[in-house]
Amino acid sequence: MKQISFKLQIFEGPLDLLLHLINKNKVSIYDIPISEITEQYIDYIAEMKHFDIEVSSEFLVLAAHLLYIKSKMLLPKYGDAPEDEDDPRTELTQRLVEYKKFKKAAQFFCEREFAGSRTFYKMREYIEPVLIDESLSNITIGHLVSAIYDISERIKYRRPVNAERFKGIVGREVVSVFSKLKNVLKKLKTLKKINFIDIFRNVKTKTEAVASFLAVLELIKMNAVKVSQNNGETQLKYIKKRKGGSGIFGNTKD
Amino acid sequence: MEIQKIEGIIEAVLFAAGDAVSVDKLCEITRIDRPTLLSIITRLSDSYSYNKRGIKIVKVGDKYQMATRGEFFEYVQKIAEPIKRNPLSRATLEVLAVIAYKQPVTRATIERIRGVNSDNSVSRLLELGLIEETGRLDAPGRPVLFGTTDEFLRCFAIDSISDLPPIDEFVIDEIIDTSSEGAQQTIE
Repeated sequence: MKQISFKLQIFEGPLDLLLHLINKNKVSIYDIPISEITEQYIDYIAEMKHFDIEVSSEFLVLAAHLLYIKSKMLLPKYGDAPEDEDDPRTELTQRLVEYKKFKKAAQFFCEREFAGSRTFYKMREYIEPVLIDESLSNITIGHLVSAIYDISERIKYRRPVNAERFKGIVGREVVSVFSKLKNVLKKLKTLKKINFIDIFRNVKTKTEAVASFLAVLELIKMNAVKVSQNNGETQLKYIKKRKGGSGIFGNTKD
Repeated sequence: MEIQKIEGIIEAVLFAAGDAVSVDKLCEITRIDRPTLLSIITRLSDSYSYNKRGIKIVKVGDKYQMATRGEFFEYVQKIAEPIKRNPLSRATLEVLAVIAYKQPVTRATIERIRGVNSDNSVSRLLELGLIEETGRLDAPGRPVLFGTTDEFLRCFAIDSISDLPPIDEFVIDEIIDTSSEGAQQTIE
């Protein structure tokens, strides 16, 4: 077969190139002269390299496959296997036929590519949700009149609520810091020295505890007690007043 | 219901929706069986064409949509921003052809048929909205399946995928052609 000369065309892939070679040589896709086609195929790849075109791996894979088919066909056949059977080209032929169909189909799409472009379509329209309001559909003025009558009837029988009834729920216990202070001071006067913890011994509620604590702070401020801490124990010590005792509560309030 | 009233309903619904409305939905709205509805739509669409109205009713797969008539393109385009899209490359058209005929189809199948990696073309088609992911194949790796979109049908002015010419039609004459030539060659 004579040397084929072609301008270096860019192909979409190895199958595209193979189809081109088959067409060029005017051979049947169903009876590919593997030897010649393989040679031209490999020549083309060499040419691609010559032109510095990147040869993608897919081209090389097919080249290897073509060489494989070629070598398989050179090997003598054993047994009485009929010639048609087991033709190593069959699979390649099927692939080429299938690819050719889609290549032609691509042409069909190419011709129609802008077929719809002269027509304008609308985008999906945003449709305001339709509100079906039935809440006022059966209302008459009579309904309103009877409603206001009902309300005025109910008001007649309403009594003011007794505040005493809520005391247990929202009431606030009042504990005076002053009374606590007096208690602590009384104890100190008799015992002279007490443990800080002991002040809270008979305390029952949170408010009481807070009041007791504030009382202690108040006593410290008044210089009535001295606080000392050792080994984690806090002690309050009574300080005797030089002046008369009555003035010490002067600026203390609840 | 009178036919005229049904025509009016279809007209109103298609106008309000803008986008394509499925035949099922139209049946549900008009409470009419499918064959009757289809014949009424055809009648309506024909009357639009006959009277050369500016609007036509287009079939998009199993849906219908209103669109402007191609003849008025020059006029309508005056209100539109001109955007020029380059024609699709040969490779991309090949990928589109494979997807159109083989859908739903995975990247691997596209690649097997074309014998070459097709990722770029697939991305381009996704970008243009001509194809979309339609699901995943129940196979190892759960590969994505691709199919064509309504936009594809509109762009190529194809009523529905089933209206595409059968894929085998594209090569029949070719096969006879080359095989006869091939036969001569072998005789030589």
